[in-house]
Amino acid sequence: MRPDPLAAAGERVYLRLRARLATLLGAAGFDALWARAIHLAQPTLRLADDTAAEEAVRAGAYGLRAALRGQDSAGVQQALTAVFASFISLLYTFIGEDLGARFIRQLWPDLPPDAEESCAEEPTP
Amino acid sequence: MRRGTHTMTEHQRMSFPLLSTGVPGLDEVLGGGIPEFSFNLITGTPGAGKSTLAHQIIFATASFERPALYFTVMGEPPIKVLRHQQQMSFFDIAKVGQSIHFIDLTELAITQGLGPVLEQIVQQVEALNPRIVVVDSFQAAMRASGAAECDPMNLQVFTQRLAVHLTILQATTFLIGTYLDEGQQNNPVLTIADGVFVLSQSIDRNSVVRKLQVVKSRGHGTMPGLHTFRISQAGLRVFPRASIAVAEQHQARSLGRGTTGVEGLDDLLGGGIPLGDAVLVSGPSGSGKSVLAAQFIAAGARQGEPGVIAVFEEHPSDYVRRALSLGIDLAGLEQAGVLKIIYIRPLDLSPDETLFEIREAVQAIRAKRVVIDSLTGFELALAPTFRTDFRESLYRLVGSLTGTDIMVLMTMEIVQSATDLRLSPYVISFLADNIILLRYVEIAGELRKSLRVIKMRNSDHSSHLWQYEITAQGMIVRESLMGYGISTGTGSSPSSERVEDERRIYPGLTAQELIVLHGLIALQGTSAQPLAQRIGLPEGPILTAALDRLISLRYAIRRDEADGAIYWPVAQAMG
Repeated sequence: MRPDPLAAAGERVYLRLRARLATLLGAAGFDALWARAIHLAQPTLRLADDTAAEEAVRAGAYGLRAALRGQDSAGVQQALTAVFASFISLLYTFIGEDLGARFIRQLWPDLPPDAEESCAEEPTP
Repeated sequence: MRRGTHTMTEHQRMSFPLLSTGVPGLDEVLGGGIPEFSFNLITGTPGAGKSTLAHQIIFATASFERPALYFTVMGEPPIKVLRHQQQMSFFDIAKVGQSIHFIDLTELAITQGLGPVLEQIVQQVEALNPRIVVVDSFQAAMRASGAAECDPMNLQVFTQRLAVHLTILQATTFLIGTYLDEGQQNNPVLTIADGVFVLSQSIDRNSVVRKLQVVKSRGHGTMPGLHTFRISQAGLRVFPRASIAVAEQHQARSLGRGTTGVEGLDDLLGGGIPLGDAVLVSGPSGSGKSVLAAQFIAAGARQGEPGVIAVFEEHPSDYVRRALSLGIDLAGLEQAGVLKIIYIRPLDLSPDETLFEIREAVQAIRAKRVVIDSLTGFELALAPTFRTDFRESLYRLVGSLTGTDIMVLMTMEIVQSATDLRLSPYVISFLADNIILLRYVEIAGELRKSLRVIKMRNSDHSSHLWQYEITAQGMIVRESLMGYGISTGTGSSPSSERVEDERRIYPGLTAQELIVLHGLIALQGTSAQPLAQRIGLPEGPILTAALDRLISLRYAIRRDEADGAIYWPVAQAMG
């Protein structure tokens, strides 16, 4: 997959997560969790610079796409994996794996058993 | 009836369907449960357990068909709520997102104010048709919504509309608010709410006591007063205030008596302990109070009367071991299901909590006997705040047990004084129908154990001092110490010398038999009943045995007449 469609898929995953979890956690709660996920994933993100990371946090999905601009598809895939894995890991840390996985499964009911953690690795378009 | 008037009869009056809260003890306080479609406020100090209570209610009541909605409006961040409440055993993950929906409206409240918040709540309630709606935290939302929204009229309008909408949408609502102090008594929420529950926690010295009060319950009778509650991993458990009304049933209690299990003691009590009586056994350390208590329980078990022992001072294993050394197998009785030993020792107990534990044990084995060993330990186990009301607490505790025909035996440690006769450190004697005082007495340079029945409500009883012993078979009442001149527990020489003199004159007689003989000499021909009254010993085996022995030693004779046996002394009065 070319880098752009991959980044767009990542954007859709982000929006889907936000639509569900912001209801539960509050918009501010979700955004804080996202910012923390980006921060923790930063060493493996290979973003252009600190400004790109800030943009990814500030502008959410669109920022994420902008931050990934210019990277090859392998780089985009690695960055998305790192960000979503970081986000889901954080979610599990705070509300527990059982409950966290339940919410993820509500968003992607077709996930195979025990595959919630890998959902971030290959974002579904 | 006048034309145009209408009397609402019991039949016509609409009754509220009540919703069980699922919180142990709370339904009892609420008179059966929460009225359906009511609009309630849960308020209290920070950390009092408001959110936990609301969570417990929603997890107990929500179903897929009638879910629960938990709106967070400037309350505790939902991510923290989900994290923390998962520690509670009632938190069922499977219900989250299925029958329990958490919806955060904080952002909406901050950016757009209360109008859109109300709109969003109504919209979600219409869509999901919940049985329960929780809005947490209500007052924080009021403060956050800006000065204009904080205007009392706006607050009133918002609350009024919320109440109307949610009631019409057939939801039972709980608003969670922070502490309502005196300055907030005009808070419109209080006017609009159907029910107001106040949770509080008070700190006294090192103990924390949580209390719940139903301040308001529109159109529905609830249990008044402050009810203590605890929060554990299982959530809240409310201990409703023991009802004094139960004690009033006392008058209708059964006739009959139960044995103490102590050889010779039943006779002194006029035949045993009346059913539904409370007995106080007071005595100094080591006098045998717990021995008596254990014998009382064991005797009941032998007669098919299960018992409960609430131990406050020593560990049950020590208690059981000590009883076993006297031949009383409490562990065996427990295994047989006729005894429950409760060990309650935290230092922040409430009397209601204790009563709850005892009641639960009583109900579990249908106990007929309860031992509280000891009141001294019980008082120590109470949170300091309850110690000042110890007498009132005891009154409710004892009343609620004896009101159901249960015999209650309480022990109380006292410091023996040579100059003072005290039954307990505080005036609690009125709580007991019967009082047995155990004491040490010094006779001829020897320390002996003695007991006296101080009080037997509505019963004839011995008024003498009796010697008893703690043997390998437990407590056994021996002979009367009448004539020893003992009043305060020490000093007995002149009287004991006199008794020894008498023994020389009437050889072969015990002190007790001497007393019976003196009674016969004084009455000169009498049946057993006046003799018993004269010497203060109830009719029974002890008196009969003494008379038989006097006859066998030719100190007395018996003549059978139409009305019964008449006893005559053969001996003469001493000059």
